[in-house]
Amino acid sequence: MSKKNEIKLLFFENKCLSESFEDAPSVSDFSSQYNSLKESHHKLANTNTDDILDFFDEISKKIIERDGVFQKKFSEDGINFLTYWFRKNFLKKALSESIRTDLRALDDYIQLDEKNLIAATPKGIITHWLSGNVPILGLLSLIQGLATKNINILKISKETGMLIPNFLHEIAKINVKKSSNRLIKGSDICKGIAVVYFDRDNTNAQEYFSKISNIRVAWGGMDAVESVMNTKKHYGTEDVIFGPKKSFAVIDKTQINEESKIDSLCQKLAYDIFQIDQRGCNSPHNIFIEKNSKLGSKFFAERLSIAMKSLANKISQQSYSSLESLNVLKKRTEYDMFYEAYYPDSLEWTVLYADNSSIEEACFNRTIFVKTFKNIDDILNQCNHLTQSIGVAMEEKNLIRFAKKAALRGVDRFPKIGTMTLYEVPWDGMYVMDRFVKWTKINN
Amino acid sequence: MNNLNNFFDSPPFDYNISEKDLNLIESLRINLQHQYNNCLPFKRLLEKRKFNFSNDFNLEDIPYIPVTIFKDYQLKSVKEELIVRKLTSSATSSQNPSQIFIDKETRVNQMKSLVWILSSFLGKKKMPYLIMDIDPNLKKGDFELSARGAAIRGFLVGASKSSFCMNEQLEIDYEKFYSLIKDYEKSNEKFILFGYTYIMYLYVAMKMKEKGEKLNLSNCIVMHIGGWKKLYDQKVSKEKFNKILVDVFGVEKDNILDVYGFTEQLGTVYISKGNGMKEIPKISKVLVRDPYTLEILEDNQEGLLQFLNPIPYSYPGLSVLTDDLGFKCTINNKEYFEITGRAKNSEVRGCGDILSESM
Repeated sequence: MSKKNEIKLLFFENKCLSESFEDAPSVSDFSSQYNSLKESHHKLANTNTDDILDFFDEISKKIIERDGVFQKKFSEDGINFLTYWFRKNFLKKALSESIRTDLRALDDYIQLDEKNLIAATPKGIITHWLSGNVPILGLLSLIQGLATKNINILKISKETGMLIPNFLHEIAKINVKKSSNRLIKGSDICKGIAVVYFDRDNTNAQEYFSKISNIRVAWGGMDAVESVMNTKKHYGTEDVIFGPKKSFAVIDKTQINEESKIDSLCQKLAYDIFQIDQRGCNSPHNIFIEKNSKLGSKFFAERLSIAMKSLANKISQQSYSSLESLNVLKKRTEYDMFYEAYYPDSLEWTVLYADNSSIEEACFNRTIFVKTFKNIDDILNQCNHLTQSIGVAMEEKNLIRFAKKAALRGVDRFPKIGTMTLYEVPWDGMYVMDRFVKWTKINN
Repeated sequence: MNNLNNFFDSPPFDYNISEKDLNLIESLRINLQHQYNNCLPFKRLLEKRKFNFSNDFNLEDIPYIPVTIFKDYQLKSVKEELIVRKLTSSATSSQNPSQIFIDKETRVNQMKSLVWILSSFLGKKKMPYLIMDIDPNLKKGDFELSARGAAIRGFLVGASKSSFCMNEQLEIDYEKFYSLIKDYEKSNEKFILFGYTYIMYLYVAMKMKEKGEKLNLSNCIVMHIGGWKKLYDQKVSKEKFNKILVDVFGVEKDNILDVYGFTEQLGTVYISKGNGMKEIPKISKVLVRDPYTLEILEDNQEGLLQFLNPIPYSYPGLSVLTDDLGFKCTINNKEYFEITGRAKNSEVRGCGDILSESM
């Protein structure tokens, strides 16, 4: 079998199938695995939602065990970052918000009104095309796929290696004993998961997985998501796309009229910047400060540099490329020559300040551009459908007015500064779990 | 005045490192003073980096400018009326080409430097050049070809005569090529086979190899310029490149000269013979910086290449950080370096990163 046509099978029937990516078994035909996944669906579809939530809650506890297997194996891959998504309270709330009715509708028909019953049925097979940038983020859509009792096939990127299969291998071993002594087996819930890899030129595999999917989830850059979107699919198959987006932050002058307020905001903003070294589409790269504030926008930039310096001592930096180094060095030089720049001798962090409102391209690796605005319309002009989050510190009445206009231009979120990098519901403007179920009604 | 005759008065590779560094420091100090007084952005940069050229300093202390700055900003250090030429890079690595503004003084020093270095490899006697490329006059308006043509013309200072030996389809004009070779062999005249690295390999040597053509050019020097960027994808090593050229042309391996240079410090070229490393002339200092800590690396460690050179006078290009990766080495108190690749993005990238590219 030529490498181009092979499908690497990395996780199947609760087992990680190889220690290394290179040695993972290959198949040219996925149909027997497909049939097996379909057969397992009945059991998963009939599992009580509360049991699934309890299972996830147990995972969250295992993840934070200091000497546990998850901390040992996955803490450097950012798993701690997602712990809250496994917690029962969080996931239950997210699920409730998403389906916007009683959670029992996921288990059975419930009374909608006097005359009608309604239920949310899993759509079937979800194939998730995961990106290489922050692979752990792909687990977000897997959690939501499982919570809605779907079969999940994860197509991972080569760079991710065995991270996801190893992680699933561990969670499949987790069991939870309910108060009634009933055992919820991780292996029952995870049996409907498969992890595969195939080459980007393997159009046969791409089309095969596209056609067996009831939902296609795509994470990644424009090329990656467009490649999925442009692959043939069956009528009725739905796409949930988490494509490339950018984020920034806005602060109005009422929020920075005291030094203590500035320092507090700077600490929060630094936290948003440092999370996953700005690799997420919800990471800020530019911050716009309203002009004519009491202490001035340049003062804010100076204080932000102090907060960045302090946080750099606590959070170690992830790897970055030599080209990214050059991009940061170029911007530092440019801002030293024409504006203001604050940075240490190393490339640990960079604050670049200019008294103008033009948005700058992301440099990543903890590089933030501090810009100014006179009129909120200057900011609105920077918003479009590719703007994911705008971190805000604004007076409430201003915020709501601004959010309405910005949302119309395509912006997805308006989190408070300090919470920009939290992954929440709705995401990218969607209640994702609602997209993963089909609503059926019985007139009773 | 940027008088650099103290360099040109003796051979380019006749130096010991400490003496070379001291000479460079003094020439760069004069240039730094000029840049400080005449280029406001550069003045701000020196002040921000707290670099005072009046004090004692080491070469590695001089602030550097990433070459990509010249793609976005028109930086000049002389009055507009003194500019005699605008150089534009071939823009293979980005959409914007570098724009370098040259005054007469810089131009003269560039030419002196080029002749000075080339003649130490080729000798003082001018030789005929067989240019393995399309004559730019045949395809006017072809931007890439005209950029190649401009670079080629720059090297013809050492040519007694020159002929382009490829047709408009970038195919060898065998009739012309073989006839000229025959003439030079007959008159026992040494000649130079000259062209871009990737053209010499992909469109000349490989095509001749495919056709089973073999020459025996014992009287020839092969000189190629323009770098290896277009051959990186094909994983062509210098050894493989030279082996093919030796097989096809029948030249001595040490008669294959690989010439490296860049627009932001034009005139200073770094030449390697055969499989050897590039020699660094006394007018230039090459430093290798760790791409992550930015610290100076020791010999044989790979990093980003920084070049210091007192020739750029009409623009602040005296200390530039390139996007080339390489390593340095010191042999018998002489400095050498080699290019290993270009700064690149990591495999694992952010979705926002990919967005900026596609936009």
